[in-house]
Amino acid sequence: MRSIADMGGMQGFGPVNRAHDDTRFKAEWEAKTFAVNILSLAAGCFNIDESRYSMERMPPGEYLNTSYYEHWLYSLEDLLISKGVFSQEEYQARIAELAAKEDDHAA
Amino acid sequence: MSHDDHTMPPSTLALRIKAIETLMVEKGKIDPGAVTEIVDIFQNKLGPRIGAGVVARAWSDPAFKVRLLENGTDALKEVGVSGLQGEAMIILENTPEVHNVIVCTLCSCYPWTVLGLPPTWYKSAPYRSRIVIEPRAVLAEFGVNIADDREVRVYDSNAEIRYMVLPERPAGTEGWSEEELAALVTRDSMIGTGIPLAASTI
Amino acid sequence: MLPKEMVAIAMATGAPTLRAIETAPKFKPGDDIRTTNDNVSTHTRLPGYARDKRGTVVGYEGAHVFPDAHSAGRGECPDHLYRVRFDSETLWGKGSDGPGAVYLSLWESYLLAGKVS
Repeated sequence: MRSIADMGGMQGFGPVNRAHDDTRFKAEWEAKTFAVNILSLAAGCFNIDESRYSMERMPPGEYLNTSYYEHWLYSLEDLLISKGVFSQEEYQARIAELAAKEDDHAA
Repeated sequence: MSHDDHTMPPSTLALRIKAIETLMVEKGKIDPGAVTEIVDIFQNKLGPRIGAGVVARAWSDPAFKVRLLENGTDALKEVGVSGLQGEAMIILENTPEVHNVIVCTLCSCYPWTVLGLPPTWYKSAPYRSRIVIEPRAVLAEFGVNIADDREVRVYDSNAEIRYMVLPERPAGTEGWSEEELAALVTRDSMIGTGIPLAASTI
Repeated sequence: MLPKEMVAIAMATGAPTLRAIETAPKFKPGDDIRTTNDNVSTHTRLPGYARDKRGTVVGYEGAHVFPDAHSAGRGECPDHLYRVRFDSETLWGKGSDGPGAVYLSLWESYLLAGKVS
């Protein structure tokens, strides 16, 4: 598909920001997203081609305004839910549970 | 807003991936210890020093260089380099006539086994979009100026073939050890957006 | 599930996409090709900038898992993969910024035989 990800030859993006020279994970969530993605592939939950296709189907505005690992996180959610590894309900419930735990600790 | 900015606070992203991770562990899909192992490998073990060592060996050992250019995958296996996102490697030799540079316009594929994880600029829209259509302008932004009559070859990593550039050996390094040579090889020189350090730098 | 003890080996092995297939490659290095003009709305690894363009086969990479099929639940369907050179002038015309070329790895189904000149 001629998705937003198919950006070779597109114009108007401006200069390359050489200051963005970092290669390390900038936060724990990036490292976890990376590792969980690799392990999900290894477990056969989805294949790499499905993963790339998923990212291509991000809404274009979101794709351009989020970071590389956010694209990976998007595709993890998309594929693991659509393939029934867990349900949207389970996922939202777990997020709420973890958020509540965080609030408890902060309180 | 830069391409790299988050739209959500990091804590929300952290909650999302933690939710996924815990569900996957509970469902027996991933081993939590494996998460730590993978992060350790990619954060601490893989990186451009591996590629630099290969370049230095190619500069020092002409027979190895021939093998490297003929079959990158097998030559790298000789020196213990192999694996994820490096299963099929092609090494691109820079010459006075040809300058090579790599990209993945579609998604940011990169030769992890020899260079580790890519820098953020490599994954950015400006790089992915512009390097194929105006490589000289992009290279100039990196301080690399290509002569008008020299050919620039852009390799777009759209399949599972991965590339690494073998830069030209700097002048005045005759007789240098592989270790000394490797110190001149920058990560960008193996992507093609840079050239090695000059001999006088060391 | 990949256990912690197997991670290092798995990372060092990777996930090669090379496969053996029955058919012989249709193209060989030196052949002129034209990429297809058939737009697809699903996953493909032929970038839009290289669609319906003339190029030259410069290498054969073996048969590899075909992403267009593999991403759509149709299985690996491996197909012959070629390294193809596109001159900058072919891709960008007068918009090219100097002598150069873009190289892509393209599956056989993306390619049509070029005109015999």
